[in-house]
Amino acid sequence: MYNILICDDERDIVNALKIYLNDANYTLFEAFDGKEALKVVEEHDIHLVLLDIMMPEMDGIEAMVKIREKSNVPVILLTAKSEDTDKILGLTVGADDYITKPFNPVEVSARCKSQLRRYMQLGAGSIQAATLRCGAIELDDTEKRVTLDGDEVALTPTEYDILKLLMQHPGQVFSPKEIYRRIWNDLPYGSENTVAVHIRHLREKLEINPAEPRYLKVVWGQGYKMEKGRL
Amino acid sequence: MREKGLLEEKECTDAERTEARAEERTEERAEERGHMKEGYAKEEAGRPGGKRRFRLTGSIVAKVAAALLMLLGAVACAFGGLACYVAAEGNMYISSYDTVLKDGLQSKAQAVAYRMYDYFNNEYAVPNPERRYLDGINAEVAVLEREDILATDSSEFIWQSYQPTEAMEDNGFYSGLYADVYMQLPAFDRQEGSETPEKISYVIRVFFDPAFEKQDDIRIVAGLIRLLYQARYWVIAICVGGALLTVVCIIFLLCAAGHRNGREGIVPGFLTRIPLDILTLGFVMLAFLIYSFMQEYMYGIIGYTMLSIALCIITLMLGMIYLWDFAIRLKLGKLWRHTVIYKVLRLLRRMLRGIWRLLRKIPLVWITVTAYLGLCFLEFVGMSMFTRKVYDPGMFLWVMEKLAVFLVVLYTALVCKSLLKASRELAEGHADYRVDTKYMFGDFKEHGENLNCLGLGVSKAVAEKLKSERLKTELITNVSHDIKTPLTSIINYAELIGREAENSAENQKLQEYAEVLLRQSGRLRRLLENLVEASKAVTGSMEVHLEPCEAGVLLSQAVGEYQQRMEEKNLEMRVSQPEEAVRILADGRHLWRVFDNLLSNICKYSQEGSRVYLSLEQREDRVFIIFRNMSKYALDISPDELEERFVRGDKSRHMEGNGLGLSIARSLTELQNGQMEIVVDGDLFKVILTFHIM
Repeated sequence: MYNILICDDERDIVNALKIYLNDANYTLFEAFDGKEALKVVEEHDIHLVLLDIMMPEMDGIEAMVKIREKSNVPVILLTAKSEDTDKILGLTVGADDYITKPFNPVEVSARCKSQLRRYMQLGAGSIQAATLRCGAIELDDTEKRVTLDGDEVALTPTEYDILKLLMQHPGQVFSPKEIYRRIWNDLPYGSENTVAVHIRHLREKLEINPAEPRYLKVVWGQGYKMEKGRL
Repeated sequence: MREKGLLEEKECTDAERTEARAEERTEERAEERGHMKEGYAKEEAGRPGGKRRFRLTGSIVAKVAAALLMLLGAVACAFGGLACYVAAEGNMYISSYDTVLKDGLQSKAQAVAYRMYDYFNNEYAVPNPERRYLDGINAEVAVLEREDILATDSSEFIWQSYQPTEAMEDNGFYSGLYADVYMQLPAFDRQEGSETPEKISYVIRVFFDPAFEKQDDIRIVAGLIRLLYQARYWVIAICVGGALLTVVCIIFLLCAAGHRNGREGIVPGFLTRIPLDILTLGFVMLAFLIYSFMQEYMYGIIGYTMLSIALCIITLMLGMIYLWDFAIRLKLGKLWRHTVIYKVLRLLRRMLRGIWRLLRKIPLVWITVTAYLGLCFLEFVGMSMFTRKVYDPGMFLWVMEKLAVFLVVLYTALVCKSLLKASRELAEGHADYRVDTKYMFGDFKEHGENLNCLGLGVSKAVAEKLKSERLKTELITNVSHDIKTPLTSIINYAELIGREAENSAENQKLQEYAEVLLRQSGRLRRLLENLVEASKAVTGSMEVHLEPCEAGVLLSQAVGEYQQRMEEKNLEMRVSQPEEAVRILADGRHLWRVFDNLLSNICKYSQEGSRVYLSLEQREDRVFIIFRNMSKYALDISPDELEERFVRGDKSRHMEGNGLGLSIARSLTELQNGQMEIVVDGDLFKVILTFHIM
């Protein structure tokens, strides 16, 4: 049983979210401003917070800072502010994820699930030697297996190789040419498009929203990289 | 790949031209253009050296042949002309053959008569009409006493033709061919011992054997005359024909100048590098040299002829070379520009311009002061010329006046300078610059204040504009935030309705309605997002981080992203980019947004089953990224209109989209110091992005 707090000043949205997250495993709490949310977090053992930013009384950012003083619970910001600066601010202040309105319900439930799993199940999991890990992605090189939030992901051998290369060097940008040379062991002669297509497939398999990847980032005009240090 | 191949091939044709390579290449080409006409390919393969269209003007063999023909023609013309001249001198065109022959042989007859004269003079022989004097040559002489011939003091030869008489015919020669020499021989009767010998006039008549049976020079001369006489009209024809041939060859050579098979355009010749005026000077000097050489070394008829003909040929060749080069220059169109005179003039102009610029850099005040002082000095010089005493009171007054005027002039110049500076600052857009009008008065003060007011107005307007732009963006952003929240609810509940309807399974219509709601609210959401982006891009209130970016990599990435969507629409992508990396200064994320917009437009509006061409080209210091596709709808809108906000390629507006894509793409491109150009050619839709290379 997981306790999830949904906090938004718009009752309709809270209700809609409650319907979407209606699951036997979840106990849902609701709050309509920052203060209420803080109260709920203090009173109950909350496992996940969905938090709007623009709210009366106390806004989401402030509430989150307050929550962070005491708890390490995953917080997903759910807001109409879609500017890059807003996202960066939210994530640096302590949010674990950021979803912009209007949201895709399926995406919201997937992200909730992902955060809960990592917080509850995998948080203390020990890492084996041959396992590469980046956020929710685990790559077990002995078994040639890739799991995302504990679920196995079926990858083709090429996709697996590319992922392994990127995970071995988190944060490093690889140009398509470089990737081609390393994975195909061949000179890249106009074959960079192939790499781009494989990366896209890989993103579709690993990311909740491939257009806004969390792990496998596209550095436009340079190459691809695995996001470094995101847990 | 195909484009790349073609490019390579073009380079090769330009660069190397060894036969082996050419053969290899024609084979390649024959393979590559398998779908082309077979005959054409074969023709090309069969001619290893020839590329593209074979032209006579481009063939080196033809040029050499033309040059040789030209020389031949010139020689023929010269010889023909010479022969013509000789024939005309010998009256060959107006007299009969006999007369001509007789005239022609007169010099020979003279020589013979001379010999006889000497003989008679030295041997004291009395001419005997009955005797034959000459053996071994085709001539015979008769010495005739002619009493009726005037006794003159000269011993010159007088030539005259006579009708043959019976006595002469008896001598055994055909009397039609003879020449007479009248002479006075003083010593013929010397044996009588008189001291002052009486001069008796004789005529030595030289007859020629018309058959010219004996081998001697008379026979040769006669033969030559006969030949020339027979060929007297042919000679004219040869002369004219030779001249025509020469002219035709010259024209061909001039036309062919600069053309070379296998090379496009005009190929500069060996001499083209030399400036025209220097070349002309060189040729003129060479011509003078040849002329003086001719003057110097012309002795004798044969030497004269041969030498002059040789020199004429050399002159002709030189003239031809000069004309050839001139023709190349004319075709290249740099007749005037490639001369030393032009360069000198240009240099002079630049120097003058530099001096002018230097002068303009000298501040106004200094110029005024210098000019004023110069004027004063001149005046002083002029005055001291007319007045004897330099230190008279008038001089003192003059100095005082000059000083006063100097102060006024200095003040005016200073004020003008500060006003000028103010107006310049204003023109450069520094609207907050103010002139200090404290020390000005009169019209100057008013002018300065006017300038200040102008600046104030401009800066106010600019500030207001900026403020209103910012407010507009803020408004749009805020409104979009406020719209997004209810929109979220609408989308969510529409989906919930759809889900419910699905579960109940009987209410099919409800599900359809929910789908419509979802679709339309999704559209509204995209429109909102684009609107915010467009307003930010236009007002420039968007952060731009320019950094080195590989255009080729970005293109590949974009292609990778869109591969699937294109395939779904049955569109074939053709990508071409140079081998080496092309680096530009751009913000990768914004540039991707531009690509994203353009490619999604292509996906939406391309004719299904057509090809989409994406190419990256580098020309000089610019990078061109070109998107080309065939439009599904007739594009009867001008490119400018297409870029405007909310205008869409399909006027019926039954496609998804909101008409902001191109506007956003243009604004973002310009934010990154690039340019975007849209070209519509029939159904071909072309977008060209231009960036500066790093």
